[in-house]
Amino acid sequence: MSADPRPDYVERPMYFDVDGEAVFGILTRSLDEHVDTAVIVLPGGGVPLTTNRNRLTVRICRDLAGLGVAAFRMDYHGTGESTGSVGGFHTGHPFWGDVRAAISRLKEEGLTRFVLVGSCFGSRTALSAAAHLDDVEEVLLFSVPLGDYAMGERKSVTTAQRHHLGHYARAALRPRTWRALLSRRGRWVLWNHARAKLRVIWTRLSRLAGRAPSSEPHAEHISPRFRRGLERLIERGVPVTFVFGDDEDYHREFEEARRHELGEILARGGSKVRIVTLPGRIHGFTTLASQDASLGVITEWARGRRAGFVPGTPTDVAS
Amino acid sequence: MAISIDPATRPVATATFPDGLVERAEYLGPPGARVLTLQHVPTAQPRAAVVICSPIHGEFARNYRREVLFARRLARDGIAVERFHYRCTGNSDGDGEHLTFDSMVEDSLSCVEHLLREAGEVPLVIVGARWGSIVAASTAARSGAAVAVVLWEPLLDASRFFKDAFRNKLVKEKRAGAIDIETSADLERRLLAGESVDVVAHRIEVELYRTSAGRTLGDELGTDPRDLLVVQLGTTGTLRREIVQQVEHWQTAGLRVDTAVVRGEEAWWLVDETLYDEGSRPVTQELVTVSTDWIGRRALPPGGSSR
Repeated sequence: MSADPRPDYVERPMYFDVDGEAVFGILTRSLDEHVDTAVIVLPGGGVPLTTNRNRLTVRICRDLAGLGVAAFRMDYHGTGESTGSVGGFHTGHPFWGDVRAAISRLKEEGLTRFVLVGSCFGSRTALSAAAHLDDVEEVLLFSVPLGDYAMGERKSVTTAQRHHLGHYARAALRPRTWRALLSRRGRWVLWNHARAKLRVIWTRLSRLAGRAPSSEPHAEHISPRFRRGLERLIERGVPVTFVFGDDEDYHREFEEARRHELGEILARGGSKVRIVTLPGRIHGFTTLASQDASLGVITEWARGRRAGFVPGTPTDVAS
Repeated sequence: MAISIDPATRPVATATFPDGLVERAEYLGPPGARVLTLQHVPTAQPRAAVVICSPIHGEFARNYRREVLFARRLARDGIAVERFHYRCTGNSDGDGEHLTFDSMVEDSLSCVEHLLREAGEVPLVIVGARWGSIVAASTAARSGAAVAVVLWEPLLDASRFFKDAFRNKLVKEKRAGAIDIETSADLERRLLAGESVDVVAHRIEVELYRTSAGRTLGDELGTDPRDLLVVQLGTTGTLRREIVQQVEHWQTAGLRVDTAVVRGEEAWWLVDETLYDEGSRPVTQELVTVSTDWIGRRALPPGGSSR
């Protein structure tokens, strides 16, 4: 195998401390340019690794370095090379402390301006971090979930909200459902569906009784945490780019929210809010087409930045 | 935990944990062909050295955290470990189209040399998981230094990897309601014709297919006498017939082979929306314990390093 004779980036692994855990990351920068801006790439919970699926994050970081932007990819605490443990990911409890520590570490490298790019759980982490940290200048959110739920529960929660008990009764009669009991994964899925339905019923009964339990599933609603985070960014004038696939539930939920609860907030953001819709599904980057299209959005953003393009100008409006 | 910041000129980072263990991430090799290596260094002089050969593509992510936890467990037991990303994969340099079976073995051999420079003259064990098992076998045969090999759910034949990948693609497309689905034979024909193939969010490149064609675990390992642990992962409680046959072949040739069956479900390619806390999964706990104990029995006694 021959080496690429002139890679236009240099990479350096690093560890940094997050509450006593060693969190791992890799900084990619251009060989010959003075750079003060770093993009921090935050993966979703499906492949919570510096590489992401099919090395997508590696490609993003190296392409960004070629465009004059430093890029940093990391393993959250408890994942990949980092120490610690995580029992799971919950969109209502993003790991923004990891991002805070990463920014502190990157400042030691002379980087002073930060942009966060996240997907799914990573996009909620990016939103939360940006809301807490004034150092963050811009965020790009891929397939951001609006609700608060544990990873793997979204489908069961949305099913519970959309379907009546008759749907479950019919499903219980199908051989496929009974076959699912034979595997651990299948039992886990069925248990999630049952639990989600019971919680939705309980929530709705509680609402009828004039009280809503604090532990209700939020997939049908916009999480107060999401709303507060977004409002904070809009108030600060931080540019926000939403990226969705046009064939994914996240997009449908966002469009519904945009017509109702989120409409006023997004309008307040004016041209600093961009909404980019790509064909198909991008959540999880489970196809090469979705990987390439997402990479394209990020490199296009970096080219615009390199050309002196300022988010929030009239030309920065897409939908 | 102490974290040292190395000079920017050296692509190295080191973390020292409260128990004295050290982890070192380092890019090795010339620009354009750098290999990311991850060393786990015990507190005392190492009793043995272990190099871990990972799976690739979808299986790489599935096994990643387990390998990290395994390496940490070995290091706590006084065994030095080196993990790495093959060139053209993971965080190492290079594009996937240049990935070959031979480059993977070259990288593995480089890591053996790198680790033994640190660890001294201690027993060397090569560990391989899935596709990595064939790389591990080839590394053991070529390095001459390996006294033992551990194989996790090994592929007995490189072609099996492609068949599994094709099958997973087929399942995914069927679930998505696709009608015009290519068969495994169609996909193989395309690779033979020099065309890369997309499978489950990954691309199988022609060079990897071409350079691994016809390779088997048995041929790569050879029959030089060494210890071997074969661990089968799956839902069945007994060794699969094909593994039994391979083990019998090795035993006849004079290799000392142990086997273990670890029961658990593993979706090697379809990384679904469920993140398990890998350290709490029984399958991982058992796999790590079985492998660590077996390697520990082949290591020098504590304080017995020859370095």
